[in-house]
Amino acid sequence: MRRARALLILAFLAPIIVAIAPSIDAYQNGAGSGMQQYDCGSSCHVTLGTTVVVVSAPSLSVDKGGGVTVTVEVSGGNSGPILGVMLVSLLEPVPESIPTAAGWTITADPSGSGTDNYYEMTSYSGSATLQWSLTAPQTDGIFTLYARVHHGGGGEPQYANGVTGLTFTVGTGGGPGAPVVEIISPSDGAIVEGVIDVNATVQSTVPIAYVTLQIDGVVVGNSTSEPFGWEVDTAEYANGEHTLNVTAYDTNGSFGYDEITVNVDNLVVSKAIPAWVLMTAGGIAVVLGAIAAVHFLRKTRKEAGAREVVLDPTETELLAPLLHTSPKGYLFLAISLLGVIFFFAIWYYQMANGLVVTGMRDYGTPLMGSPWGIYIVNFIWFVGIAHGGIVMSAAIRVMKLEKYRPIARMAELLTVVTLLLAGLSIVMDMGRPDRLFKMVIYYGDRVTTSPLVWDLTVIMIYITLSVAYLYLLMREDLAYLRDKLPKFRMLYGLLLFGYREDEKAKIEQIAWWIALTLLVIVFLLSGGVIPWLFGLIAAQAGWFGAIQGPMYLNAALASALAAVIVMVGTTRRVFRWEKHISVDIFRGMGTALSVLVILYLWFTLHEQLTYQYSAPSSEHDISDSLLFGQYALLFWPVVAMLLGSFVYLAASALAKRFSYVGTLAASSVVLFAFWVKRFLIVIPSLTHPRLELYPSGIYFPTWVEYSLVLGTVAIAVFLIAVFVKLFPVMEVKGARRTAGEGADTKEA
Amino acid sequence: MVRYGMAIDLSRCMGCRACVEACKVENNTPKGIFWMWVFRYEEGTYPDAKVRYMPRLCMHCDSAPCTKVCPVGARFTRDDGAVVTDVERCIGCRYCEVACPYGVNYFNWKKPSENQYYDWGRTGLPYRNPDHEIKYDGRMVSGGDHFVGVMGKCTFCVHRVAKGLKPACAANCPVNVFTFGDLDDPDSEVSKVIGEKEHFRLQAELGTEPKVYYLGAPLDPRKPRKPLDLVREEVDL
Repeated sequence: MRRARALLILAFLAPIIVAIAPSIDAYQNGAGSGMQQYDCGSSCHVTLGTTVVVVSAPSLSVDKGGGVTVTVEVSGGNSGPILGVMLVSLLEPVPESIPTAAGWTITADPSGSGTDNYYEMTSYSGSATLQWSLTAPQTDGIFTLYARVHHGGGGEPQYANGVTGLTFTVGTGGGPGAPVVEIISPSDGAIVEGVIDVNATVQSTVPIAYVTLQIDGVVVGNSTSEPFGWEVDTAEYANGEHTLNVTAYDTNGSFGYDEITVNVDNLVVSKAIPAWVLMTAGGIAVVLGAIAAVHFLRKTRKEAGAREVVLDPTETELLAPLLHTSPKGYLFLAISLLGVIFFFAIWYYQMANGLVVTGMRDYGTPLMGSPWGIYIVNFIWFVGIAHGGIVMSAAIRVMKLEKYRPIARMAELLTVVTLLLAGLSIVMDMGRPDRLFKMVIYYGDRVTTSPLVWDLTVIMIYITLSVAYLYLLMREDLAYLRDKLPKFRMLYGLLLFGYREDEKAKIEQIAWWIALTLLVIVFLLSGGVIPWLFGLIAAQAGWFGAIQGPMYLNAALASALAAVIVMVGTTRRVFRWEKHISVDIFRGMGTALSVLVILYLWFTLHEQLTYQYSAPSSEHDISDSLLFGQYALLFWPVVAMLLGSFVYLAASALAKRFSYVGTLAASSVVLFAFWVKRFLIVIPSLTHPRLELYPSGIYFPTWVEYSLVLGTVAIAVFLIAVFVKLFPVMEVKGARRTAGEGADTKEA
Repeated sequence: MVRYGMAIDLSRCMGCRACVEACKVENNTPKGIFWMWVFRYEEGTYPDAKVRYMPRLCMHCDSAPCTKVCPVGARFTRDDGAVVTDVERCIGCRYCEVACPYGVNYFNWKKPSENQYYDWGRTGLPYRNPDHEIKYDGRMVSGGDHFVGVMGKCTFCVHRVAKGLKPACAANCPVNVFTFGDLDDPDSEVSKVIGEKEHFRLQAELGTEPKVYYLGAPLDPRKPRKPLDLVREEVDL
């Protein structure tokens, strides 16, 4: 009975033993083949599920033939105790995926006794850690090892890859002849702080294409020529170990590298002072400064306070804008301020969207536009007015044209304001106005060849001279009025810093020299540098040539004269200065303007005749487009406007008849005509490329451009209005001194 | 010292514009910007008229007017002769474009948002090429990053030449119109073809000393030339 029971148990057990037996064979089949596909019956392994395979190694760079220990961690997934783990060099289940096929040698497998790439556990309980020892291939290069777990059953290849492999770099680079890199400094394992120099030498038989510096796997430097050195600010990295890698690539595509570890140890300093602390400190400083200034001024006022405040009738008239502002005046200021705000709003829009909002485009194919537009037109127009204005004032001083003295300061004011706007026009035109400071940084390099840098220089020279000129000559009036106009005592007091009673003679002397300088340099600057922006450019037909200089100087003087007539005429009417600015002044300026205008037309005749007669075809085309082509509708009106103004002004001079309004109107027409004429200098040349294979282009300014140009005029009006309201724009002391003196003659 | 130059064989060019496309793809240029362009034009008057083609890239002049006028030195000539723009320094005044008689400068009027031919269903540039993101000789000159408000133009594929490759246009021409190489080396391919064949340079009378040579008879100034394609209507930025 007992035997029968034992036999029965055996009979039941037999199929189980038979079922288990092939699993021992599975070990044999997996080993050495690199393949998972082997048959172990139907039940040797259980469902894999979601097994997680992670491979790791202490270092990913090994020497050729160097030893490596690879750790494989398996967790989860398997629902039974039997699990096969395999180390491979390819993810595809092919015989070549065995690591030895890639040049590796397995020196020990997890069993401790074999050298197989396959290991099978029979007691897997949810996680396992296995180790293989290998020696690296004997060739330089990149070698990858993967691990995968296997589940065989039913003849199906069932396995799960650890898809993330380990990429070993063997040797020092990619093959024979690859560059040899050595990091000279810092040394491996060095403790570094502050800014360090990383220097490396590269030896290669093939030319080096480029060399990169990587810190913790991030490329931070790149160099294509020797010496290969970089400055690294270690403060940008956390204290602790970081790897530096210098890799050189040669022109064959081979590379070599050197890698070291440095230990960054910077003194940890406290963070920068928060912005709010600085702002508060700045605010307190400003408030304290203001209190001190007020205290100081109050003291000086007390000292001066004893004097009696008396304005004689002449002074009251001359100081009309300072003494009283009508509601209309406030309205005017408000409207022009709105214009200024409008300008900045539109400019913001342009900067936010790029210059695509303008009508400017690249010349040539495919856009066929004009790379410069009415911003540049505006620039040369304003610069012309500025140069002419200060020259008028200087001429009045140097040549002692006493009759014109009352308008001198207004001409100076016009200069300062229009110079600012000329500069602004260039900035408006720039694609990257935020980089304007680069013109200063690279000034020394570029001043030798770039006409645009010369322009910057000229604007700077003029703004310095004209502001100094205007300010120095105004000090006498400011000192005189400081005590008479209590409203402005504080402002004038600040501006009169360092004032002495006896400074007048010295200032006159300085001003005379500044005036003389201005008169001399105007021929080189207005009649030179500004037109050279175009006259030196051979690429654009119609620009290159010597006539640009004289023509431009002519246009500058004419438009400045016209602008001064308009400005003085307007203020004279608004503030009722008829007694102080005689009609004679306008008659003289009008006559001079007529001469300058006809001179300009004469220049234009010369220019167009030479283009028409037998010029190169590209020049001829420009002239044709002006005289008969797409720009004729602008060119002929300009000629008509200039000619009409000339005829009117010359006739009224000859007939000894004078109309105040007529002169003002003619001047406005001239001013406008010169703006359009500048357009006809800049645009036709740019839209008719010299290279005949390009079709001619088109340029229509957009509303943004028109708005910004009108905005600059609004800024000019606003600045002038504010100045007129704050400072004596008519010479007060000078007017008293010269009152009654006979008028000199003014030459054209 | 190398002095890279190019010879363009006009007798071979068939106007396929593969070079234009190659340049656009390699340098990732957005819509409306053609660092490489092929003129297709009719020369002469009927019945003595011919359709001709002329590839046009930057001439990389030895005496480049654009480098002279640049107010910040962003446009400069590299030691290997290529005339390039430092996009980190350019202030966008476009004086280089005005001073260039060849019309090869292309300003980035806006943020690149559209491509000329394909849009890959996304805005911005079609792909990133890390070669464009590194500096060459310490200057950010390679194409590909198209920053709004700065100038761009042909770089002689500085990023490819650094690896010993030819510029994209030369590498992709199906009929070998382009020969690229060192003009200072008498044994280089480009020096040889220039020495062997009749050649001319565009607008050399301006004294710009272009390093791009056209193989073939110079343009006859007596013959009228009419561009065959007017593309402004198609390209609206």
